[in-house]
Amino acid sequence: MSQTAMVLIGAVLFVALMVFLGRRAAARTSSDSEDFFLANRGLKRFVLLAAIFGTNMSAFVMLGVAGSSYHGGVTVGLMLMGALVFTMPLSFYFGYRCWIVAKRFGYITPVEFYRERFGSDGLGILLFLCFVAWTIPLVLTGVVGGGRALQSFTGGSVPYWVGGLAVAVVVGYYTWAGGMKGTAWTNAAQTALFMAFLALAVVLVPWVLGGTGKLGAQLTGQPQLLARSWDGPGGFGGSLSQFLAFSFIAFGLPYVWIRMISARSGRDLRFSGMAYPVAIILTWVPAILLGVWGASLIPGLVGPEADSIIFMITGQLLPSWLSAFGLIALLSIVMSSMDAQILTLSNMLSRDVVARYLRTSNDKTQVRSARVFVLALLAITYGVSLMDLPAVFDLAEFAVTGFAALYPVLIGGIFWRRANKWGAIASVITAQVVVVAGYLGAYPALGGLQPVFWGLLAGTVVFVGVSLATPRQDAAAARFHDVWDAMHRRLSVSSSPAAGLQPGAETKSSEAEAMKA
Amino acid sequence: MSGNRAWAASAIVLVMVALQWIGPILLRPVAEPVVLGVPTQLTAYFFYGVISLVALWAVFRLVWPSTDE
Repeated sequence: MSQTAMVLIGAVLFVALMVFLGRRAAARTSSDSEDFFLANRGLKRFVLLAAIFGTNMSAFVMLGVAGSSYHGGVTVGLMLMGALVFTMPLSFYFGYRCWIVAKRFGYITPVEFYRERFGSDGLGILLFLCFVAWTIPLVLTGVVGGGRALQSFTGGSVPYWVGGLAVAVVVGYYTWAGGMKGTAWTNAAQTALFMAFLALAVVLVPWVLGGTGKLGAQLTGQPQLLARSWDGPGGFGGSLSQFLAFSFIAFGLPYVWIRMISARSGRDLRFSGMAYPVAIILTWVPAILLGVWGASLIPGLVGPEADSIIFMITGQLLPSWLSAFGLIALLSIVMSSMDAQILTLSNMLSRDVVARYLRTSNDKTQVRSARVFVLALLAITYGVSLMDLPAVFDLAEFAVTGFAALYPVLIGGIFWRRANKWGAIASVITAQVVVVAGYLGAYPALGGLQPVFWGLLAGTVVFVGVSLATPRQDAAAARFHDVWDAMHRRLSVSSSPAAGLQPGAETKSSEAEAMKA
Repeated sequence: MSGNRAWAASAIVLVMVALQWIGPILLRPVAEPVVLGVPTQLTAYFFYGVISLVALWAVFRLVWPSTDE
């Protein structure tokens, strides 16, 4: 059987699995808004972890990390992984604080959460615009990436426009039909698939070549790839910037935030936070190694050509079926982010725009309009993907910076009672202006510090300064902080020596009291 | 949440973040000679991941109530 035929069969089987899961999820999803948007706040351990992890891992891992490791060695990958391994799971605690309040008051989107926390429609609109503006390029790269992958893997038998259309239609179907449940179930399968592919590739490539020792020996001619460079992006300024950008990004992305508040319980969310570092290592280390090995196995690739290095190696060294598996893995990692992004955009449009300003608060209407938005957004995205837009990939890479610039407000809003709407609005505007100006090259990267550093610095200073200089918002803050204070009061009491420090004593009770607060 | 719990959790976070920066600097003389560079660095990350699990458990235990609901 030819490789193209095998790739096509693999793609068809993958699509069939996605459609099957979408149908199953649809059969278990009602037209209730919490059910459609949040899977009835019922995502459990591994599905929750896979939904969050799969959503957060984009094609950047398989293409960008491998490509940058090919050109720059281990530096970039290790620098980014350093930020992700410990600090990123802390976002799950931030998510837990949001989860408990969102469950108490029935919030579904981050926009309505922060709008109510700060009692400001203006802030809500501002956040909505930022979230949408930075998410759209990401969705677009998903369609473009999927189309290009299908074209490349089938040797052109499936043209780009058909590949992109297939990705948009499949994602559209299971997102439209199953909502959060559909995307979470498919994400679980997709995460298992792309992690399995990377694990297989990183074991089989050295096995075929006679061991890691031989691969390492081949690399001695390129010592710069094996040592961590302290110049360029690996320098102090670059490392600090990336550390800041990626540390809490799971909390800064609206489509991950929504998955966090879809957790069934705080315990499920905590499990995800602790399993996250392991999942990162299992995914990033193979991508880094394959990229570095690729530099000695297939030398001479220029620029973005190296982004496909994992698939070039597996295509040349491993059996055809694994090459077909590579396409499935790539489609999996692309779709697992794209579906969450499109569902969140339609969710925010439906609840934060249509329901809020057209006063259609009916559950069925919200779900119906969200489903229409899913299809409309995908149709528009697909149409735009057919145009030649080279800057969209740069913009998508920069989107992390745009989201990270919102940290001062997103994190300050859940920890700082004194924070108010004036500080939040001023911070969002200032931070976004600073990062966009940096992207456009309006100021130099002093000491290698990237726009994310300056945006965060400016956003934090303005947030604190303006909040302190303007009147308090005690009532709006109390509504949220009283819930968190009750939770922590109960935690302190239940785990004090007088309470006997019994694990069961704090079980349920703290959360129950917080819910009643 | 008591002050002690918040301070303890903050201290763990600070130590773990500091390790991310101290680790590569301490490893630099070992990693630079190339041959053992990648295995050494990846082993360090693996152990950092294992330590992260313990540290996260401790941080979450200190600030995050265990719940079934």
